[in-house]
Amino acid sequence: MAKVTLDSLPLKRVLALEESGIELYPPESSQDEKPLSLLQSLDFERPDEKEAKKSKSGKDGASQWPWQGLIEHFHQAREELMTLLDFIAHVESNEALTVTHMMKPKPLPNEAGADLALRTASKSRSYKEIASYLKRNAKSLERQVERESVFYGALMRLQRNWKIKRQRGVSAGPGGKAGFLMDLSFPLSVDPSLISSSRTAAWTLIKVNQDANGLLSVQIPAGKTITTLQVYLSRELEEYTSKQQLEQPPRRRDNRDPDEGTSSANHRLRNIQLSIFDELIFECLCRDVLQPSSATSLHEIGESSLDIGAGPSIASFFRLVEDDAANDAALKEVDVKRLPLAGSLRIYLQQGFYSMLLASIVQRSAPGPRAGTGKEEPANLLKNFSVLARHRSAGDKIVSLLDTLVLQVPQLWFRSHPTWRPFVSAWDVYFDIPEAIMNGGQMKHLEWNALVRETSATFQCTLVLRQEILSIEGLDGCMPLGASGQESTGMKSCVCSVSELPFFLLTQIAGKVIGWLEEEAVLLGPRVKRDFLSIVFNIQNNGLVSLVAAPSGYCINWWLRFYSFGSDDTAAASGASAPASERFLGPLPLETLRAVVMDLAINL
Amino acid sequence: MNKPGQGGGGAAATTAAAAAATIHRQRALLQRADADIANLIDNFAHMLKAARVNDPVRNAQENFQMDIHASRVVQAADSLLKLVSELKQNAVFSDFISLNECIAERAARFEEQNSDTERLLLSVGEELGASLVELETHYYKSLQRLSPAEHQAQE
Repeated sequence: MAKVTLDSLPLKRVLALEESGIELYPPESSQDEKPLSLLQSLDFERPDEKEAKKSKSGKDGASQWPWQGLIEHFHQAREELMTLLDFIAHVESNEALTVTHMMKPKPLPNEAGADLALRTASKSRSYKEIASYLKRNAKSLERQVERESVFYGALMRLQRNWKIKRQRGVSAGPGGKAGFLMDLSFPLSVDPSLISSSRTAAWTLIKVNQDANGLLSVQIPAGKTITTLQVYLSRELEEYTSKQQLEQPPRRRDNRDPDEGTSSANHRLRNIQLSIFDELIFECLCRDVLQPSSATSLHEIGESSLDIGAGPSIASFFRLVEDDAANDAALKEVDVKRLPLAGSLRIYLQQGFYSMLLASIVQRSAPGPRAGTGKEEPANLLKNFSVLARHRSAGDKIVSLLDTLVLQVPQLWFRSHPTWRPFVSAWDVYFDIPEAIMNGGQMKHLEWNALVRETSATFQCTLVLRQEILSIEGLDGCMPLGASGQESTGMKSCVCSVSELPFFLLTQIAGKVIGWLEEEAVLLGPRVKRDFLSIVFNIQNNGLVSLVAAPSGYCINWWLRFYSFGSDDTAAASGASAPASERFLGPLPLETLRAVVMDLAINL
Repeated sequence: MNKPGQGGGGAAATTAAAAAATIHRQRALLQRADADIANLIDNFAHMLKAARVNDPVRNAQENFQMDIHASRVVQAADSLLKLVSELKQNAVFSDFISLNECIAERAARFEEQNSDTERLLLSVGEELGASLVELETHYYKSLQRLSPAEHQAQE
């Protein structure tokens, strides 16, 4: 450990005193000599080194390394330099001494080169660090550019189909909220009474988010699900049964996974919009059913279900069902005998609602006074639907009646006549006596095209059902119910109820058959007369025989009646006198009838 | 109440104000773009200027300066990207010309689809009618439909 001794204070001490009293001071050293004297006063030797020196001097140095002394000298020089530097720093910090100049040894060439290399390497390293930093940032910026290009591209493509709004207070950024909203509300020109719904308020604005990959995603609001309106009808007629399975509306694919791309976002938004429409239709139906002028009866109303009575023995069920496979079980709870084409009723409701919306837009945007304001009844969706349901029910009944009639009555045909109007349905009914039978030949297999001929034995008409009113058109000289043979009014159309239809048609057909039989019988003899639905033959012994047609149910029964009084054809024909005897023949085929008439005409 | 003339004048004034605001906004965006680009170039130039090898103290000082300049370069690039995003948002919300053209084009396409659909429905209806006639004919002529007497006569 170095030993530091302190010099005496810088006081001038008297060196000597002469006899004359003059004080002799020591000579002052110059400025250059002062630091030298100070340095010389430093003792660099360490105490242990002094002792080691003394011990070494006593030892024999025959075994030392030749360069050992040089190294020791270097060590000592180094120690001295370190001490000096510390001392200088100490003195300088205390401001007792200022170092004005330090002579550095001139660096060697290799030292200068090494120093330059070191500095260059450090500079190069710093540049490499900066380069890596810039590369990292460049990659992240490129990713951001890609994300934003994908996002804004998808947004611009969506903007072609949907209304986009900016969300205030939120800025678009990578990985955060996009700050955009899809506005699915209706334009202001639509009648608010049609679109006001608390149910659809949550659907009005749909948020558009940007995920970490920059892709656009449309999220359904919390607590809302995409629903579908389902419509069912039931009829309580026992003769109608449907073996079809429950008709499912076209399911909208809507999984809960995030969207990828514009097409799936479009699809999801479209599903939401369709769900909004279905909910608005449901709300409109609920409003209509609660109005006092509603012609329907309310059975049950719930948050997503509505049961009404659309007419006599017709019930309608409306359900808002979530578009999910798990809800299939709920659909099967409605165990009703369904009318065919019930899915078309849903389409009809949608089309009716859209028409109301468009009509309200046109009405509000039309300048000037609105036509028919205050006097026209507002469009009622439920009323139209009820009319359609009743019309369909009546049409179905008519088809079943005609089907049974065709089965029971030979040579009777009918075919549907599509009108493509919701409240008008038509059927063509034909009855024709084949030529083979007319000529007395065997009955052959008939061709459909050969049946339509202009003969007196031909009967054809068109049944037209307008809403619930059935009219029979195209009748040529038909006989209304209850009229006699001479009272053919030549009407072209008449109104008939569905329950009376079979009897009416059978009456007309029976009239045609009677007319044909009369023509056949007249050829063989003049003593034949026709009376509405009977042919009367005069018997030579003042008797009458009449062949009477009696439509009943779905077929024409034939009776043979004998009257034994005088030639009072009218009395016999009018039935004023009871027949002496009668024989029930039942439903006879045409050739048998012809044979009977021929026999009666020839033999009587 | 404003008179029609004043209303027209008010509308014109609103349009002029809107046009002036648009020009001002456009100028501001251009200035931002120029500033960001200049900033980026200046900082990059400073980084290159500090490439000279000096004494260690100066080297350390220059290293620190280069870090600062690199950060400023990245900041300028990020600012430019934000400017681009803002321009795209303006294009989404303010490009009425292209929006109106797109809407008109879609309306025309929907009109065409409407007429095509109506024609298709008519043709489908005609085909359905013809098929219905044929099917009903076959149904009512089928053996199950004939009465037993007719079936026997046919055999």
